[in-house]
Amino acid sequence: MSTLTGTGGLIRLILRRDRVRLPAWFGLVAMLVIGVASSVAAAYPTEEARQAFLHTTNGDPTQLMMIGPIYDSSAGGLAAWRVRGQAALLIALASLLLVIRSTRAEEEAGRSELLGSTVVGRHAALTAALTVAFAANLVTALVVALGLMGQGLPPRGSLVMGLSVAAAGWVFAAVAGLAAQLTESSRTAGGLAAMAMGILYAVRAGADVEKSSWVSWLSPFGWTQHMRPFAGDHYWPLLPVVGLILLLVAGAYRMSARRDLGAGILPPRLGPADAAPSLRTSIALAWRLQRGTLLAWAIAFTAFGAGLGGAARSAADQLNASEALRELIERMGGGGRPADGFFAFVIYLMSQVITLYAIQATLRLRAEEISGRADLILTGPVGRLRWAGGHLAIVAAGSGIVLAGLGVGMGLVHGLSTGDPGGEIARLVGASLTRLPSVLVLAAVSTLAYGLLPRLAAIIPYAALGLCLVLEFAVELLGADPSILQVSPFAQTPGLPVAAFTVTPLVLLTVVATGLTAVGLAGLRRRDLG
Amino acid sequence: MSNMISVSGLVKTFGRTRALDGLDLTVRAGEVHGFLGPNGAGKSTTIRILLGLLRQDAGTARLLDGDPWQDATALHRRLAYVPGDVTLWPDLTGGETIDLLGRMRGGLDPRRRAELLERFELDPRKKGRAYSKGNRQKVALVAALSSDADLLILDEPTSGLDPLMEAVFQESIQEERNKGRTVLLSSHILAEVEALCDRVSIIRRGRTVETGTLTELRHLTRTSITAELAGPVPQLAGSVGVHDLWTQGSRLRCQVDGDALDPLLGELVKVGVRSLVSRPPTLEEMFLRHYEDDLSGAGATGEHAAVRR
Repeated sequence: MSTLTGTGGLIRLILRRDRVRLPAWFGLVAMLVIGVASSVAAAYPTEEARQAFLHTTNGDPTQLMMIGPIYDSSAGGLAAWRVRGQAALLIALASLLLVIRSTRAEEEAGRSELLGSTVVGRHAALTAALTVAFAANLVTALVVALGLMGQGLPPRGSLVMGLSVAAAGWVFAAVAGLAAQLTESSRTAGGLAAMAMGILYAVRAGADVEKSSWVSWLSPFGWTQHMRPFAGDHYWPLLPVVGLILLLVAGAYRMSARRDLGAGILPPRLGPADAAPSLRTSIALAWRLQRGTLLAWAIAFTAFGAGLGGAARSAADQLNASEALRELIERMGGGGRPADGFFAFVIYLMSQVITLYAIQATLRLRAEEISGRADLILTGPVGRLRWAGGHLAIVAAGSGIVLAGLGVGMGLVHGLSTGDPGGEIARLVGASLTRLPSVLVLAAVSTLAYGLLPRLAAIIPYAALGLCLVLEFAVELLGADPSILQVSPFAQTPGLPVAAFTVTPLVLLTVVATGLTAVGLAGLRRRDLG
Repeated sequence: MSNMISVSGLVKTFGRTRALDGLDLTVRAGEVHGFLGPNGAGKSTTIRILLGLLRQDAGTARLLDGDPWQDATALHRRLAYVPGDVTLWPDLTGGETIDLLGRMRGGLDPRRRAELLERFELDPRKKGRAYSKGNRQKVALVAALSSDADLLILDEPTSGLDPLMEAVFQESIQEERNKGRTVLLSSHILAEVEALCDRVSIIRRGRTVETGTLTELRHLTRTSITAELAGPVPQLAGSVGVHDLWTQGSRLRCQVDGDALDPLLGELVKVGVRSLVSRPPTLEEMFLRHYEDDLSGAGATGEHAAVRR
């Protein structure tokens, strides 16, 4: 029996199981690219407007960091720039989750064993997952190319655009294929792959802010960017993409050949035979379950903050040179230092990313419930409120810790360059923590969904967060009235350190978060479990 | 308090499925009560209602003189539960899980814990994800048995255990009974129920169809008779309560209803009995009879006429 026997059947299984998820994720990416492209053309109809936009953007370090430079002032060039970052990250995430879900998660659940006993070769699962992921990315590339051509954009650029988006997906499908071999836990494997994604995106961000082109060649996100759709249309950066994929896939197959089904390459170790004296309550258990994730997020965001703090100086210089932005910052209420404008913007953005942590950590309740592990706790003398409350307390404190970590990282590194680390840390930690109520509103939406609509709990909070992001697109590109942004809790908290501190919105958001949480918990008390 | 659990007329529906349809169950203090039924009969649903995880749509359930939904937290201090399908936290070792569950319930006896670990041959240092199904069950069993709960609720606790461990389990439950604890044991393993249980309840499609001691249940069902007579077997076919009759010369085998036993023996004694073996029905026979009735359509509704096809 060949090691690939049964791959075809497994491919059909993945397509059947993910028949909704697969088109939803990848279709979303294609729609994002096509939709944004059409609205960019409408938002900047004249060459003049586009030139002006290009100059502002390329002089704005926050934009350079989040997306990178604009390479061409044509409608296509602007469109390619506008969606580049989000599309690459989204499709990378979709591919990563798809591969982990179809390999390690299946193995962990024991379903691979059921399949492995039938006529299925040892590499079939990995091959099937990678095949589906590669094909889904290719189809997305073609759909994007056709969609852009349909709007009258040049065919060659449209195809390069599609391929540059798909390339990010291909790379992280392969990264996930390798990560899935390393650990027994699909959660850890997904975390490893996502961490690689975050680090590589940060490398690209740093390279673009520092205008260091060799650094940007260290990251696959740099490679896809250098394909320059509608601004030269290069295919050759696909060479390092293919090379890296071959390397990763070869590594994954080698590990998969050497390990036992269900085992990882990193060996499991024996643990203590007795619990530590502190492990005696449901809250202690919640902390034990949540601490690993929290630690990873806190470290990642402190490091990321340090990177931002390092970039702040050159960002500030560039901001000084950009008159438009200086005006904007002054209008936001801050006359102060240009670096503060940069910090206010990145804290606003990062608080939305940190919200992912808060949602994920809250949904841990659902994972505990459906796995049946919650039963072990709730059939002891622990009420549902106490059980859920323990997790939620950790979510609230944990979100604060991650935000504070971001502030500490930024303040420390920036402070070293201004000569006042203590003062900068205090200011930036304060500014970051001001966003905590916004984050907690989304965590409260997760609790509400979990209590009232448990089956949709994994969708509703992410959709709510997505809505906050979509509103910004709508305001920026479709000319929607900026007042609709008021729906987003992120627009409510003051943009420190630029804007003045006001306590009212913080109190209001805290009240909203508390109210939503209370309704969610009341629902949890009333409903059936399991 | 004479009844640890009293349930009557319990109804629970999930969407259009009626999982419990007027179920009754009484468990007396100090008894080991067997809870039997085929897959999907509603055993786990009943247990989950008793544990306050689900709320019934109709009927009443009392547990340890409290309401399982309202007083869940207080009641859980006095009971221990072993689910049929145990999932553990992947990163916690078995020993940590046992300690955590025990401490939440107010502490466990370390000597008893050590003794049970040895008896069940369980390595407490392995991580949750590394245990097999049987070993995960052992973790939950050790945690439950080393607590000092008044009531043990065990939902198919031995479905993953090997025969040696099954014997260890039976021994442990006997000890619990001797300590005066009450056990509700849902099981498929009829030999286990027969060995352990004082009373049993058999349920089918969300209703209780039989309940009582094994002796009582046997009285209601048939006894197997094998006899060799001094002369030819008398005419028995058609006698009320005699079933599956087989005769050859002076030998016969048959099944007799409880209340037909006396008249039958009278007939046989008239001819003269050389040897007689009478065997009470095993639980398995009683159990199968209920399901055969089920399959052959006794009390059939349109719904299970389809099953018969």
